[in-house]
Amino acid sequence: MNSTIFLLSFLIPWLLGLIEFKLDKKKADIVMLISALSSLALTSYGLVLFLGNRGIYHLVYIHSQGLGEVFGFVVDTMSVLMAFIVSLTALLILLYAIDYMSSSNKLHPVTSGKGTFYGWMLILEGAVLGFVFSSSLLSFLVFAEVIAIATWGVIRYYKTPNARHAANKAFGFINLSMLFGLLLVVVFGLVKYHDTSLYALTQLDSHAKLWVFLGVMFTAITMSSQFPLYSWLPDSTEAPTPASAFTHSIGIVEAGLFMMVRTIQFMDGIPKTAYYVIAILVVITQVMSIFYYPLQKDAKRLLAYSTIAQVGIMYVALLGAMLGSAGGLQASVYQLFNHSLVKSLAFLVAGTFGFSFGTFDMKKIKGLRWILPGAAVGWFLALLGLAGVPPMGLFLSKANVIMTGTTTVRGAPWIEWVPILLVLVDATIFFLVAVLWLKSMLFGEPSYEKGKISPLMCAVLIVLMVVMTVSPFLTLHLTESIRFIGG
Amino acid sequence: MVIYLLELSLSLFVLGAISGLVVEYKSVMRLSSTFATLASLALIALIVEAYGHLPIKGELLGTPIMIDGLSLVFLAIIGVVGLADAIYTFNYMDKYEKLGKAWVFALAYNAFLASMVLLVTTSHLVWFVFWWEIMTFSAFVLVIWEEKDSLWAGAQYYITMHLTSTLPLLLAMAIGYSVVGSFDGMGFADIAAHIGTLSPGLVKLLYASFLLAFMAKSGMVPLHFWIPSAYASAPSNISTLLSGVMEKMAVYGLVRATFDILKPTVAFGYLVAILGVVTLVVGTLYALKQTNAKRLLAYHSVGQMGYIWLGVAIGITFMKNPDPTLAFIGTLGLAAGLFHALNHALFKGSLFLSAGAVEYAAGTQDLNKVSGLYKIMPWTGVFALLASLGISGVPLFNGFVSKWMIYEAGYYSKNFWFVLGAILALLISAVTLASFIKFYNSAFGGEPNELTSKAKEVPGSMLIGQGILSILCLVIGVFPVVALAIVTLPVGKGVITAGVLGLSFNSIYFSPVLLAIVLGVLFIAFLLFLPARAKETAKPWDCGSTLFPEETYRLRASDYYRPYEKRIGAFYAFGDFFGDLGTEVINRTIAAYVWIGKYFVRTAEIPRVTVENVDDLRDGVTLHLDDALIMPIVRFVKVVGIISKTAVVLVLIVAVAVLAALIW
Repeated sequence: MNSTIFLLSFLIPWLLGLIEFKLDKKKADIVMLISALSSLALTSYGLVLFLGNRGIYHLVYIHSQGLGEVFGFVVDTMSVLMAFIVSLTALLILLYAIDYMSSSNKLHPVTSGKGTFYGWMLILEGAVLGFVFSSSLLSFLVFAEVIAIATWGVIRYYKTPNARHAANKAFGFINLSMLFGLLLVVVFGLVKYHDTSLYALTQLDSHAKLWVFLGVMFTAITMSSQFPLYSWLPDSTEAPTPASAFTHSIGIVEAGLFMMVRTIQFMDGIPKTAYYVIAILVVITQVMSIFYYPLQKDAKRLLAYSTIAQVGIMYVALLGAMLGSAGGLQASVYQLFNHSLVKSLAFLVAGTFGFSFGTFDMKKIKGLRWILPGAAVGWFLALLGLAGVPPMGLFLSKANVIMTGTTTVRGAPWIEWVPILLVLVDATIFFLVAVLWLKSMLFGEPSYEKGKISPLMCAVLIVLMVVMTVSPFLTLHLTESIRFIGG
Repeated sequence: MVIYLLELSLSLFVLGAISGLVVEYKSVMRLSSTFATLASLALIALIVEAYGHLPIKGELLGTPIMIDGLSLVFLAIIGVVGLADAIYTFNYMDKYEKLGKAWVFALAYNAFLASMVLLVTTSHLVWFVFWWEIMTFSAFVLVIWEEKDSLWAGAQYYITMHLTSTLPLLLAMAIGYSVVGSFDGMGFADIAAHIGTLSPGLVKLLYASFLLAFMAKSGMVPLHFWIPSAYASAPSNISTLLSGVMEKMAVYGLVRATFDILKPTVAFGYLVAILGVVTLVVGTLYALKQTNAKRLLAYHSVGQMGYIWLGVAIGITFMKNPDPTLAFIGTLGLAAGLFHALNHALFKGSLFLSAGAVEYAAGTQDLNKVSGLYKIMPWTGVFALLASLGISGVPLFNGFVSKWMIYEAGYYSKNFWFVLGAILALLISAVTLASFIKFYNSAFGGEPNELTSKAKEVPGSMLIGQGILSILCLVIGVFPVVALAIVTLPVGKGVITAGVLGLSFNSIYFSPVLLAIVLGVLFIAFLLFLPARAKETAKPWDCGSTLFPEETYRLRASDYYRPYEKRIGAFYAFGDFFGDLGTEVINRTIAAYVWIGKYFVRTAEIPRVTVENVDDLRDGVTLHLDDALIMPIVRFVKVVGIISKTAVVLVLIVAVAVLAALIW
């Protein structure tokens, strides 16, 4: 497997991203397009190559006596598919950003400094692409730190007090979790074993396994904004909408989950204590988001809480994997793919509210179907899609999570059923909230003048709607080849 | 060939669905209903082709397909009602032209029909639920079409469906998966083969989940509350599909799940029977007091579904009975239930189309306001009459045959409770007749009034739609063999012998054709030998007063059964009590949520507003647990920073001062 393709797919955005900081306007657009397109071209070429020659490839680039495997790649179905979806989503979101970050935006007119935004976004994209191929905890740490910095950069982009606060909060929370989580684990690994490779995880004794797992988990769930450090994600919606779309659909939030999937995949025989820790945290997160949904009137914040819950569902699926079911891994990754497309649609549609009416307040928007028909359709599909209504993919993936979950907990004490049943409760409450908002927002007397969005933005929305309806059927069987690797 | 026809039908639906690309409203409507018509015709061809070659297995888009007798019964319902409805839609939707969004209609309408076709042909539980959800979803889009009252009705429908039908089905799916352990192994037969490994508690949960899901969709009491408002506010062609076809999918699901996944047990049968009897009583008695044409029909839908469930319940209870006579009664009951499902689809479909025609012509559904429409819309009048006679169970019409089979099965079960159920069903049938006398007379009888005299007969395509269904009601009533050939497929041949002249089972023989001849002879005799009546209609005498408009002393729909409604007032009060109870439970839940929600929001920041509902809470700042934990530390660090900076400055000043003092 020629992995230079994947190496380039994240190095190009990094390089061009750095150049972007010096550019603005049209030039920035062009460099961004070159970067995003070449990334997508590389990852799709890689995907095609991989599908012709499937397997699990482990490549080590930098290896030293003292630090063990410093930098290497794991190329398997999960990372290749993930890279493809990352670059696809990034391209669509950045295309949308060309017109969104302009002076015709009613809420946040942008006249200069577009290059800075693209720069952070491209670095973010590159870091996520590098992250998903990482083969050691050390390189997870490095890429995660770059993701955190780039996330900080995009969140504070508008430089309002709220945006600065949100950016600092996100950066602070994530680094706090690394300090007490991943960083400790990496230092421990380097000092004691002189290696942090994923392939070494399975050789740990069970005591070390528990602590390593809990350390990685603490960082992962903070990146995924699960309880206890979750509130930075709703606050981070202060970011420009395309950045929020990326962060929520395939950025830092999903990276955290991805790291967890990898750890579980490679570390076999995880102590049951870890299962209970994660189960309790996920249950608290689910219950909390159920209470938060109805309280939101800001479209983007509503979506943020839904992200927390949806990622929580991915963790519920991982609970099954921790009990030894590969189905749990598959359900989790499948849910991740489906969620990323629906969530980016949801955010991009919410962005059009700010763009053409200057508000994200859902209470103020009425008669959307008359004043912004395209967005009305998108909002309808996105909200119901998040609630798990077919033909949108989250229906199948939620069903998958529940089905594989039931298999592993059948005959177990009732307490293990709780997270799985909460998936259903959560979907129901979100559904109620979604239907009631749709009823009040889409119909009735319009509350604003007829809005306008550019053809490019509209095209992106349409492409996303099509992709999100088709992709679940394509990825369903692909994700079925995800298995445990370690042990 | 059969699979090919299925593919053909679905491709036509797909073409119909994308006909919105044409953009221009009327062209889209014409095009999409033409494709839906063709697709329905393909379905009818499929039934003819598949007949005698059952079961047929195959694959469609990678999903497993199985067409057996049961599928065929329901494919017939979709095909025939779909055909009539699509033809009717050709012109009917012009009424809504102002709303635009033709492409949404084309998409939802065709997806609705196609999802039901796939629902009854798939043999895989996950895909069953998937198509079930597509059906529910597209029905929602169609129900809210009018965007006024229908918004609330639609939301109520969709939320009820999600809670009481989607959730149980997902649970059932999960339990099913836990025994087979793979996505591909979720076929009905595979689950049935492994069901023995489930613990008794989970088996009960499985029964309960399926039952709840199908109760909600077919509107069994107490889950019928969403039906009247949804059916009344949806466009009439959609009400036809909802009541004629979508409700039947629940019957399909019930029969499929009970016989092919679970096992029909006596206890389950009793439960289904009780639900059926309660529903047929409640639905029909509530229908009696309705004065809105579509609400009246909707309540009758509830009632008629009760009959169908009673028939199916007899099947579930007795079919596996070791005693052959009782097993036969079970078979008869199931066949009767399925037969009534088909009949109900025909007459209720036609009635909703007629109600739509009345609304189209006179602009109202209120039976108190319309009158004398027969003189204005004779064709609609005739078709509505045929369908009304069908639903009332008058001999020579289809409703009679299936109801009669249900009564027979009930009596001959020799089981006290089923006999009681059958007697109740018979009595309630009289109420149905009374109700339809009101319906027909107040809309079509009498003289046209101010409102209706301006109306005119609806376009031909709408009449064809009504005609297909109404004439089938009569044809099946006189020649039941037409329908019996299909509805007895799932229960096996030889149970009921049906010929052109009549049908017989269990040494009972009934010949509608002979009855028709006898009645025809009597009718002609009456015409010949009775003195001709005066043709003039007299106007009521108003004591010479000219001030009272005729409207004030006309017999209106609300006046028909007023004394009877008063007599059973306690019954209505009892029913309404449960309605109020439900509303109260919802209100209390919301109040409880608001009480808890206050702890999630900084309410003190909302000026001069007392928090009374969820919307008030939304104006506050949302609070977070981790903020509450970490922000004090951050603030503390900041404060410490400020203090230490000040301290450093102070120390420096002091030091400088001391130094200066020393030097000085």
